[in-house]
Amino acid sequence: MMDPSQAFMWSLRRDLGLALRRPADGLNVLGFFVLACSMFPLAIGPQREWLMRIGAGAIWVAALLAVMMALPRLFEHDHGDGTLDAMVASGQPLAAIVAGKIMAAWLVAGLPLVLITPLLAMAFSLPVDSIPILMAALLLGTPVLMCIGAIASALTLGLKAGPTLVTLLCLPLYVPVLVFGAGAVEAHQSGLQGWAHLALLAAGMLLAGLVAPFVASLALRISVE
Amino acid sequence: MTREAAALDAIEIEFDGLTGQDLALSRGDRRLFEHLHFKIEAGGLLVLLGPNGCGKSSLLRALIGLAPLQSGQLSGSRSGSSIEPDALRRATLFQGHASACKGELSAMENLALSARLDDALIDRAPKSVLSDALAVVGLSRQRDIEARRLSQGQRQRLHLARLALALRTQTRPLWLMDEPSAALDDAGTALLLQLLDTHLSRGGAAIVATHLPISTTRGPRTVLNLQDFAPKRHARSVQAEMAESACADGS
Repeated sequence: MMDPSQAFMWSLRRDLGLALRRPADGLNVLGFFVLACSMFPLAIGPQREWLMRIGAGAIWVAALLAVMMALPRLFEHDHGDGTLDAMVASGQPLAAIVAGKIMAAWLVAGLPLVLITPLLAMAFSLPVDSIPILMAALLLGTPVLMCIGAIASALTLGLKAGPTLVTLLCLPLYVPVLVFGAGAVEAHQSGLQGWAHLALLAAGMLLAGLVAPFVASLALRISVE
Repeated sequence: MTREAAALDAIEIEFDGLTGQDLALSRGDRRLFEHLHFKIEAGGLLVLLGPNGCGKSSLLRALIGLAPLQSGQLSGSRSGSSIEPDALRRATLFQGHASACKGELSAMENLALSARLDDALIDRAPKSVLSDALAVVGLSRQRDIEARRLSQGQRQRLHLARLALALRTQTRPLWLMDEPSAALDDAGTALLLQLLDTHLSRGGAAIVATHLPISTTRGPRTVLNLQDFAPKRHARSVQAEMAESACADGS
């Protein structure tokens, strides 16, 4: 039997390998994020103060929607071709397998968003010293979004209205992440330290990372029935 | 190979029989079968027969815990004591209806992934193990071809390679197979029977849902026709009852 760390690596490597063969999926999310962010300056106009004011919030909303775009694919393919059945039936530690899948999904759809954020921050003429805060907030916050989304998509797997339900289930739960994520930059800009916000995001990430694989694997066991 | 041998020795097989008592299964509100009993022991083969839709696949899925049983007791045993459902899953190789392979990955990568799930392969096992298994089932030339380019039959041969690997390591003593020969040609079917035969002769057990007559040379073989366990129709009205009795009288 694979121990949990082996099962985690097995599914992480598997999903990263699959993502490499299907680069469109990851690029799609990144492309959406960049386009959505670049719409704001076009719509609002070139007033620097306005852009600075809404910049962090707009980037956060776009990141949240982009992550949500990646969610339906998280388990759907595996459900469709029977590999999810094989995972459940194998008796291997399912929570570890799910954790690997969430990690891979974040590396493919979440991390690129964080890395490209400095460019977008410049489009919003955010002050340079608040860019690291924004990146840190996204780095801690997007895994939480992914974890919550994984639970929702595991619960709605196989339902016809699945993607719609995922959106409805996730959005209310995403609000705290959004508030603290965008708030970190706001606090920094207004001269306060953003550490409190970041610490809360980090706590949220640890909690979500710990709980989500177990809850999602329970939901998957029900969904395959 | 010593590392692999050590790793495989560490796997303890917890199985020497599976018993189902008074099993019943429904799909939606339609009862598929009820009062089903079976017992399978090491070296035994259980063949599930029956027309389409009588619940063969559903029973296999229920045995591995992918679907709930409406009633009944399912117990795996090992030297007299019962084993946990999770341990039973780890002792079982499940080949479902779906292909369970990834179209984007090559035949070899697919085999490596499923063999790891089956505990039939250790991490970073030599590639020769995989290519040998593919050679056995006649997929040597297709080993680097994406699985979506394989034909249905070739994909089923990929399953045979998985069985061959499982056979090599003996980590999964109970095989559950759903129509394993559906798309196979004669040579493929012969190979399947040969693998099954070897598995049974080494003390493995298998439950196979099939339309084809399966003949293995060894081991006790039980045939269950699920149609025999379909619920008797309850007369819904006096009229229906009368119509039925009229039919009975007529015959």
